[in-house]
Amino acid sequence: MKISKKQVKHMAELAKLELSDEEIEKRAKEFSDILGYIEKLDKVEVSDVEPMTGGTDLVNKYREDKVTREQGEAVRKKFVSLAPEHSDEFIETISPLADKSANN
Amino acid sequence: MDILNLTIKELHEKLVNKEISATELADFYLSRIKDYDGEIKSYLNVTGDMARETAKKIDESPPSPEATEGRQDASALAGIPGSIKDVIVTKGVTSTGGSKILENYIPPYDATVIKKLKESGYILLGKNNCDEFAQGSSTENSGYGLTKNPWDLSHVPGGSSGGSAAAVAAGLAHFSLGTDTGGSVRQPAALCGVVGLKPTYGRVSRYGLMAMASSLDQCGILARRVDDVEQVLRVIECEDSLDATSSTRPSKFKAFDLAGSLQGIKVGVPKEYFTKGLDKQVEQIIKKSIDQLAELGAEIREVSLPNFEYALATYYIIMPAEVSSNMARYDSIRYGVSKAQSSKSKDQNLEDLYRLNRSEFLGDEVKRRIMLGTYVLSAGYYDEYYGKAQKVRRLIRNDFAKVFEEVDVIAGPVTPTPAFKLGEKTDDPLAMYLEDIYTVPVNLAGLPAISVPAGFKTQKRSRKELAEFRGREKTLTKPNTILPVGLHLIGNWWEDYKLFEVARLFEAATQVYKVKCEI
Repeated sequence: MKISKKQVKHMAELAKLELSDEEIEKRAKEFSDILGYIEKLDKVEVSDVEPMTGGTDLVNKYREDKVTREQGEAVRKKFVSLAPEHSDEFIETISPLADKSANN
Repeated sequence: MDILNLTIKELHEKLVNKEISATELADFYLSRIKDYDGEIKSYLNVTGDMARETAKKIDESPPSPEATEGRQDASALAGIPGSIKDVIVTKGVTSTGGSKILENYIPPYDATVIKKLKESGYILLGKNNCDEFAQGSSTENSGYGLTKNPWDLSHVPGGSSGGSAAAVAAGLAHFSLGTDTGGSVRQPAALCGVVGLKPTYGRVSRYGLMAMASSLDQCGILARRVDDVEQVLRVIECEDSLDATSSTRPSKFKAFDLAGSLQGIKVGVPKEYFTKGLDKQVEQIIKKSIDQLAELGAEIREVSLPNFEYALATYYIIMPAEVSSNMARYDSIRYGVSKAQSSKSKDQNLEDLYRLNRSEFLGDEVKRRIMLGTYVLSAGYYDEYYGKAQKVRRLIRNDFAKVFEEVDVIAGPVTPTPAFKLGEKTDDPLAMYLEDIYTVPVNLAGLPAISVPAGFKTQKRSRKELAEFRGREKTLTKPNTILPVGLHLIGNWWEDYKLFEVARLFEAATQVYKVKCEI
């Protein structure tokens, strides 16, 4: 299975990664090998098989809708302080609604 | 006192009888780490002060004598020094996940397994090196450098829990917690000659484990003896409301005692296991181990896992798909490090920020898996890859269910080869992935499995190597390399304790654990 450099660029775009030309070329070869190996599965007959969607057969495991963990100002401060950029109150980042020109 | 050769139970008795103090025990391990870890590099972070502080508190109010007997007592691990793989969050102690993107991350909370260990009074020695976000089979993908196999420093310790395995093998921790998604506890355990368990999926809470592939991940345990792994499992297993996939079963624990013999136990050996990729010496050791099980009274039966050859391909679709989803959280916004100053960026939008930080701080293997995962989940390919893989996963699971109608445990190799050389497989991702053929089916099905030391592969060192290693450490200058080989035992769902009994009897009969690596 041959993966093209164009396909690798598309995969990188979906994954929000930026690759150098050298990396793109390397990945194209590696993905061709790996997806080539995965082609084995073409031989498996699965027409009446129920997919296995998780690691367990548990369904809808609920708990009581009660607050049981610490809350309040101290907790908020604790989590906000982990962010690379933050004010006293908020985690800060670029607006998702802004385009490049709007940042001026 | 030969601390390295005592089990947790024996150490507990000595602590209770005041033959040793928790402080002396902590100091014993901390000074060994200082003396030997410079070369091995199994630790990313050694928490010496914290360890001594906890030990002091334990000495001031020592554990009760009944703790390890009852096995449910909260003080069963009191004073016992352990280490934790860096993908498991430890409150107040930097947890990087082996990644540069979390270089400065100090978790504000403990994983549930850590909470359970703390309640039992364990001593945290430090955080172990691992492949970045648990993705790899050699620990060569760590953002912080590699860990070496204590049996031969020119070889890998395995991965992704390579730091944990190396620490336990070299006597730098009494036990360690790792994670196992496709073999990441069992494979390094086998390559480093220690015991490694992956419990039944859902037995141990995943809350606080940096998620890799959520339907496959389980916290696992490494130690030098089967008893010790079992002891730690008793402490950490639980139903957890913070993990929707954790089960109610652990509270229904019932001891399993085979009274010293495997009489009545049926061991299945899948005929598909003995393929041409399996190293000849490893094959011999595994066959000899199976004979040993027969000598202990077990009935050996040939069984079949017809879809075994498809398991690795299935895993390398499902796992990257889940990885691509789980790695999306590393956006350098809520935690971790960031390259950009968003408030000062005039030419960037939010997506640029993601791209910039993820590309800068995530390693090659993680990027590889994210991209593969994104591809198999993308429009036009979902049904062909991911949809199909989910169905083949069901077939693989059904194969096991059928076999377990006839046998109690399945036996075979953990890996096709013992430890390979550092750098040997880094240029060929597919070759690296093929190391996992025996371990991944277990994660796909959610079964419990354990690796137990079974023997050693010996190989004459080449003249070139002898010349290269002249004047180096003992393990490198010996004329023969000696590399551990593990026996893989797979149990039926929820029969972790039956598995321990079989492993324990094998361990007692073969005594492979008595051979120590000379570091």
